[in-house]
Amino acid sequence: MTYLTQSTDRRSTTLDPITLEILWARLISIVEESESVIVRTSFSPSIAESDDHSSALLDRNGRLLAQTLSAMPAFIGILDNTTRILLEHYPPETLEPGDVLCTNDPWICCGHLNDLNVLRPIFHKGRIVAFTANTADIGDIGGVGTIDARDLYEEGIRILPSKLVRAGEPNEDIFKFFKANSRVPDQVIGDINAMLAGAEMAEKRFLEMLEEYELDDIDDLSDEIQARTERAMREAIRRLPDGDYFGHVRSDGYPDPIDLRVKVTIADDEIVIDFEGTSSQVPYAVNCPLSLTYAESLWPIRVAIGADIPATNGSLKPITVKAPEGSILNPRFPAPVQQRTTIVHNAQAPIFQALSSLAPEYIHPSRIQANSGCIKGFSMKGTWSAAQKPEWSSGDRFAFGYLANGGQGGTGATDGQACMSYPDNCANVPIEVVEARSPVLFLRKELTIDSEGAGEFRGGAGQSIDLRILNDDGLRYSPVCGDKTINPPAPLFGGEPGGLGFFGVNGESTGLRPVWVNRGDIVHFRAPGGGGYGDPSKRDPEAVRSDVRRGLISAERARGVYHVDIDEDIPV
Amino acid sequence: MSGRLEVGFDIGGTFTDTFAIDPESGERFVSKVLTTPENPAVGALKGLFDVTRSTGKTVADISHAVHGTTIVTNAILQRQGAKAALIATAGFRDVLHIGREIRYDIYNIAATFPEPLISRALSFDVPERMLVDGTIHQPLDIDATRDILAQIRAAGAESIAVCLLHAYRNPVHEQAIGRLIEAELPGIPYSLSSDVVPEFREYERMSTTAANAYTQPLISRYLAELTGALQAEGGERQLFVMLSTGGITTPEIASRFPVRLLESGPAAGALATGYLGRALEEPHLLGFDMGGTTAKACIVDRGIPVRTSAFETAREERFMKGSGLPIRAPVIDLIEIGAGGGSLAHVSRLGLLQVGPESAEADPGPASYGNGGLHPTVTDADLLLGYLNPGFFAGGQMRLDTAAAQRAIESDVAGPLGLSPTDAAWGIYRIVNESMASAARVHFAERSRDPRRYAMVASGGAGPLHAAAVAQRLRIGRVIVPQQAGVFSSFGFLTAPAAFDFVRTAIMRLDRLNWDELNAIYAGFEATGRSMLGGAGIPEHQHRLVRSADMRYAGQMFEINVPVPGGVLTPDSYPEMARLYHQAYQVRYGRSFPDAPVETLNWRLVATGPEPEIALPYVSELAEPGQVASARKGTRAAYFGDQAGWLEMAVYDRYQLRAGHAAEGPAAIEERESTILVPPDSSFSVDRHGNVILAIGQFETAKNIARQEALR
Repeated sequence: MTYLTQSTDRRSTTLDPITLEILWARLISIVEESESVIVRTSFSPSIAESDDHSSALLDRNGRLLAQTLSAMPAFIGILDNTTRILLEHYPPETLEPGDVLCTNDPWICCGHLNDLNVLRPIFHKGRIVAFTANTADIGDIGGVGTIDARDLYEEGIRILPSKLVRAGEPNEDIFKFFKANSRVPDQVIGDINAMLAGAEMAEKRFLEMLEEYELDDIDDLSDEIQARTERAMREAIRRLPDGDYFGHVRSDGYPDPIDLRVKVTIADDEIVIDFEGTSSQVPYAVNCPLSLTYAESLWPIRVAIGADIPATNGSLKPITVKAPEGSILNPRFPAPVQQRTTIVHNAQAPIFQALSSLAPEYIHPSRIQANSGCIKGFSMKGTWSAAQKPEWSSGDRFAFGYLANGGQGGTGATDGQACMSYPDNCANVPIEVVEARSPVLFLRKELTIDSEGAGEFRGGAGQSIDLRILNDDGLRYSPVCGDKTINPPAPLFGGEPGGLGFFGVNGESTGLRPVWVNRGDIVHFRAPGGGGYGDPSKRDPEAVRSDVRRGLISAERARGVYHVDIDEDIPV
Repeated sequence: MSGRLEVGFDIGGTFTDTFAIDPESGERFVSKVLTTPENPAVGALKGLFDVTRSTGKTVADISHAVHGTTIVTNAILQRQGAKAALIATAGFRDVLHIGREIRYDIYNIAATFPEPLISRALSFDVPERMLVDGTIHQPLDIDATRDILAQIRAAGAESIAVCLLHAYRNPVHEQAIGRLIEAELPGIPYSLSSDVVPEFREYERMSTTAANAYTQPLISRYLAELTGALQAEGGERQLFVMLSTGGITTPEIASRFPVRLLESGPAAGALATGYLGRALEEPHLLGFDMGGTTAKACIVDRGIPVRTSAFETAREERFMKGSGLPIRAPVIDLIEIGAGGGSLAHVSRLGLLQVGPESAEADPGPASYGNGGLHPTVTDADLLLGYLNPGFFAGGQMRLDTAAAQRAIESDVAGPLGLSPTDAAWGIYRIVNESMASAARVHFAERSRDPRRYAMVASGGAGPLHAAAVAQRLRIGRVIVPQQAGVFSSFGFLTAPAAFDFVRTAIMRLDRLNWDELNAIYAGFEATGRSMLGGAGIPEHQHRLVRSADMRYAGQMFEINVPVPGGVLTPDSYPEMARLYHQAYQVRYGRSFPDAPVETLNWRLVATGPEPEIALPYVSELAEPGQVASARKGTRAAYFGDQAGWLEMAVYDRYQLRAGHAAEGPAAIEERESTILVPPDSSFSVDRHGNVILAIGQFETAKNIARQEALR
């Protein structure tokens, strides 16, 4: 508990640690309520069922103050950057109460056009005291929406920083742009309204808090939050030995393999994550703007050493993320980026590799993991045939993304979970919902046997999905985050890689490219298993038998890979 | 002697509590005996004999018995349910094992999840398929089903869950499998998802159906034994079982749908709150129960606890949403947070004081218990602040060690933060109150309710001490502390109405409803509901049938529950139904879209009987307020923050208080189970029923607000 030695400089502030704790908890409760409003009122399954969104409170200088504990890694550390850029376009002194700014520029916001950011200044006693920001994946914003886009212009509508609402009056022009460019306009407009409702709720609750505690502003509160979290993060880093630590993983890429190389430099109380040596950007939609590379790189660091330090501007300050300009993790405009998580979801793996040499002495093994199957999926776009068009749909088109997760990588203390969302956190959409919203029939969704990366702590199983196309007019089927069909999830410490993923139609592989499928066609999808951690022969034989009993691995694999004989008839 | 007797009995892990009321004389009786885990009916009968003997009556005189049991909950928590098998649609047996694929803790990669209640080895699937609109895409393969039933028999399964895709829309395949089970495996109980929870979202429905199948053999055996034992003693009258909604049902229904009993424990407390609200004519109450480890709160409007339709059981992390098994079943909408007398205070790595959710539990307990606890808890802070009497804890059975509390607070909180022990204790007190108030504030807000209109009913070991501070933060003006809270809660049991819940998913556009289908759904619900109420001995004129529906804007993912008009529905009903929806949405989310199309999902009906009328007894003759001095035990110093500082507060003996007594705060009122704290600026009085009523300073009471609004 060495952190407590800092109590000497604590009295310099007017805020005692008790009031600070109370107000801070209140801020988090405000963003939680704001997120709950967005989820409950949104129209896209990506927000409501998969939780692909986040809310935040920022101080009047645009510094991140509070995000929910369940906020996705992809949205951590991004919103304050976005806020700063929006405020460069619209300086605070030009804003009035009831204004809402927005943008979906991938380089300003979250790396692809589907993620819209809205920012609402909160006024109190005639001046801005804070901002509330929301980001959400609002689904279809036009464009081809596949890996084949050659530049950003093919990917849909881009809204540069704009006023979405002026003093409480919606800017109908922008709503019209969205409406005119989406295949599912009602859904997109519904989602934007949900985001506005979330922002209004955050403002209302924030003002109630100020009134209740008789505060004119939260400047002292923010200073104190930033200072304390920065101090705690620096302290956590300082406890790690200085040095350079390296990691490397290979992604399938499209069409050529992509190498992610990282050097993690720990110097006193700062960390630099440098992706020097990483492959160059490509003319396909798997490039990832630096804003998201930054966010995704923070997650493994926070898992390893800062899980209990809230994400704030202060706590993120000691961590720097670099990637060479023109690389796949820092592409130049107007690179296509729609499927940017394809590659960047692997960025955590070389960072964990680099940190793994510090376990168990400096980092607990339960905080290091082998690579996971990660979030995979597919999208389906087309025109409803007259006979299949459902009651609720006002338009003629459907656009549906289905996410399905691979197995988690083993950690140094636990097996990976089967089909678990990593590194972001997206729930599946119920099959009964998918079938109501798109003209397909699921034939199976099952765990893939023997897909775990073997290890002392094995990876989690991946999953296999087959579905049949019902639409008379067919549809465009496109892999989402297509990867790990050739290069499997990497293991750690002598474990084995996870089982491979697969995309195909009617029994044949289609690789990562989008295909047009017709009524009656059968689409195949397999999400990879997680990588194993540690030598499989060290695995507890009873754990191997339990996996055989549950049908997760075959008796042959138990013998061949784990050297555990399954002779007896295993009782159920 | 003969006559009637109304009895409630509650079988907990350690004790079986029995309580009875003679409706003619108003006399009450209680008994506490040890629970007999191997056959709980034995303990139940012993308790029943106890109360009937003391009334000079027999089991045959019992006119109405209400039973609360934690058997279903414990079977799941302790994994003592049946060896159950699952039958799913071909290709989807893993729905139960895959779940929703989402983590509940972003930064703990080693977080674990509860094992499903049915093992993967006993999960089977059969060729069949329904489409989303309920049409049959592929007929059920009867031969394949028979083969699977043979495998299930060979595996020795004791219960079967059947959950097919889209069965909420068309249940015929599930029903066919049910008939095959009856033919091939007679005597093996089975649960069809279309009976248990005919709602869409396959994982949640399958998880619920699995929990039902897992607990069904146990609960039906147990209830059969209990009913048999009662009948053997001549008790032929109706036995009712407490539901998670605070309603009661027959043993037959309880045996078929044990998942509906899962949260019946906390329901009893909510019912007691409702009972008190009716008796005191307080229409809007917040039940606040703070014990050793957790605090619970629930909203009760006009005697009826607010409900919701989903919860989680068997959480890996008690306060982490998403770490448990999801259950879809009607339940009282309760919040539970990790704040109790035993909640531990510590300084975080950010140098902030935090309280809970970790708890010192009963062992070692707070530092002041002297059982080896070295870390400070809320109780230790309460002691240091002078709120608790070290010599009268648990009625004096236990002496609290003030020095030990002070040492723990100094070493863990005051020292590291550079505060005095008093300021540190005051900090602990403030933070725990604030976190409870904050959770309650969000709970009110999300249910579109204004806490200022509410009065609070405080219970639990730590509830009466913290109630005033929490009420103050919520701007609640009135706190009611019932007499003998524990016993009071038991009598709430006897006020539970018979209740039967129905639900069916039928997704339609509100402006294009299939009126025939809708009327058929409600006709079916109402006929079954009336016959169930009739079966429970309730005459038709007392039946209450309340309709509602879950609706959303077409294309949205989440729904809100909206009232549905009664009677035969026609196109003329549409404007009113639409108005009710838009209005509810506006209230909840602050905006609505009257031109946007609305979609209906689940149609619901609750059929209830009347709440039994049980008057609160008058405990004493009225006394003058000034005579309160006769109940005064003495004074002691208590701390009320930097401005008020240490004040000398009067200490009263609750057992000496009489109706009409009243005094200003600061004061403490001591009873065996708890201490009521009356802060400065607040006052208390005692009503005719022995309830202590606090008027919280600075705030207007709920009744006044309601009156002002009525005048406007």
